[in-house]
Amino acid sequence: MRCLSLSVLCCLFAPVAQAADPLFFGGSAALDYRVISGPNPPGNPSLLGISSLGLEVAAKAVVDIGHGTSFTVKACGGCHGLELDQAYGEVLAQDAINVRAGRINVPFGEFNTRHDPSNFITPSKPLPYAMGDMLYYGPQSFNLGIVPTPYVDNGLEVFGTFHLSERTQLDYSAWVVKGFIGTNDLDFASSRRYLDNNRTPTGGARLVLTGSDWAVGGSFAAGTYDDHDRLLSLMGGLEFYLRLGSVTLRAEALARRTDLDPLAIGYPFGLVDAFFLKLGWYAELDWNLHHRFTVALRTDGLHRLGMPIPGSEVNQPSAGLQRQTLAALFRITEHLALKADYELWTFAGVSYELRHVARASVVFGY
Amino acid sequence: MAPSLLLSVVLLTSPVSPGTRLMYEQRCLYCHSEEVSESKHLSARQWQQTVEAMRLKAPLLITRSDARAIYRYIVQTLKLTAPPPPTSPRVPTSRPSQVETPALTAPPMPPPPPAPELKGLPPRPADAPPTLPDALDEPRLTEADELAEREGAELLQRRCSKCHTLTRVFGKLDSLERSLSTLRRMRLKTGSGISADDARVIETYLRLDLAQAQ
Repeated sequence: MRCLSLSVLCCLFAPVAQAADPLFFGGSAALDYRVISGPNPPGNPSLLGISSLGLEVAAKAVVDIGHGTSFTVKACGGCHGLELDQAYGEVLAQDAINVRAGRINVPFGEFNTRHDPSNFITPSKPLPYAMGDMLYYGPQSFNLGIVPTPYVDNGLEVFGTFHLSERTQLDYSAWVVKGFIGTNDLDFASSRRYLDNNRTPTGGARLVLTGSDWAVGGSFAAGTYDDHDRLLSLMGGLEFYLRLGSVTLRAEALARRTDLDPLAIGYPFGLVDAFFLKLGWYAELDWNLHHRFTVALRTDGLHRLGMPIPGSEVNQPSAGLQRQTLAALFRITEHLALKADYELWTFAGVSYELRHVARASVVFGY
Repeated sequence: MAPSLLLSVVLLTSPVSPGTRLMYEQRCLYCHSEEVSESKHLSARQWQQTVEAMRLKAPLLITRSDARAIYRYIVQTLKLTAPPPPTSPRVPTSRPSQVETPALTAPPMPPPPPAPELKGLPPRPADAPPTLPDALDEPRLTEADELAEREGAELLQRRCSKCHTLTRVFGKLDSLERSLSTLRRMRLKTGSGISADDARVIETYLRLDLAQAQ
């Protein structure tokens, strides 16, 4: 309710704020409904309390006080209540070195930078970045993707760009944040807490080489996630972007190695390697057929290798899921768009049955 | 007078390029439906003012050279100009009278005086496209400005649409100061793909199109 009130307030005051130049307002709202085939469809969290109906609202304000200094606050409300997605100060000093500090969107991977529903074509996020819109997302199932997006944390980021030639440049971003939180695998809800649970921060970097209409890059992150600074989480990712006329191809491959607690009891097999690997990928082709109409083809997947955590439904050392998506986005008006898709979900190494999913979203952005 | 007549002739005889319809669709129908925008019939002057007002609302969606082309397309090709005043013969009205009087017959209308012929211009046939009167009175763009506009507009769309829908971009970049501030912040985002050269081209375009819209 609080987030709805906030959004309403932001909508009311946006025109006033826009009268002043150094203030920027933006925001979005997305209402999403999905239908899942077969008996006992898995549920998903809903802000409205109606199964399969998701609502996400966000409002953002940027104050530019000049000399390259600005402050940004973005609040969003969704399945987890009201969250601060961004609350940071930024100083743009020169091309090669700039600083951002506060509650930031941790720069890991390409999709994370455009996680707002008004910035991507499909109604759902790619599986490596999925949260509650993923089937069987719970801690006792696949436990989300690789990097639950938006990936938000408190910390410091240094970033910049080097011009290699007239058309190519190398962008970098190095960061230190509080880090994920968990006990025997990451706990997403706890990770969003404002206070850290241990003494070791998580650090990482992202490098992107960009050309005229292409980009390749990679990300890396490492840090401990448990209370006692013993269990390590390592993440890596590769990204690719290419635009050819009205067609855009994006692809990413991500991996996370997460230490398991050797002292925990209830593992289904004898624990030899005290870690598990999660591999995720997606490739998406967006074709802008008309200025109002875009279609997207996407294949994405998530695989888990290693010892299942105690009590999990994913109880084999190798299990995964794959999804094929055909999506379309239709821009109804300047601020309103309709998204729809069909998704085919298949599973391996786990007793979940094949699912057909149809989704529709109405997205409002200003 | 002579240059404006010459300009009218050039505009009337120049064929509409196939891209103009697309431009009209991409600019005007971006926000309006075809039914609504084509149901209006305004004078050429009013169309010029309307297109200019729309350009000032969305200066990055509709550049100055776009506005001229769209105006010509609406007036000449779609012919959405105000219909001419009715020319049906006047029907005589009879006043009610208690006294029976013979029916009044209207005297025959004198033929209208022949329109003064313009030297050097062929007589305009009945179905000729409407002229572009004293419109297009804004200063013509230099070739260099038009090129910079075109290049900048295309580059802005290509770069910004990597992460955003263009609707958002056009909505946010609504004044020069805000646009330059946004460009600076966005350029340094990791992976934005906006090089220093790109930023210069886009900034030139923003200055060209937004300075006038202030």
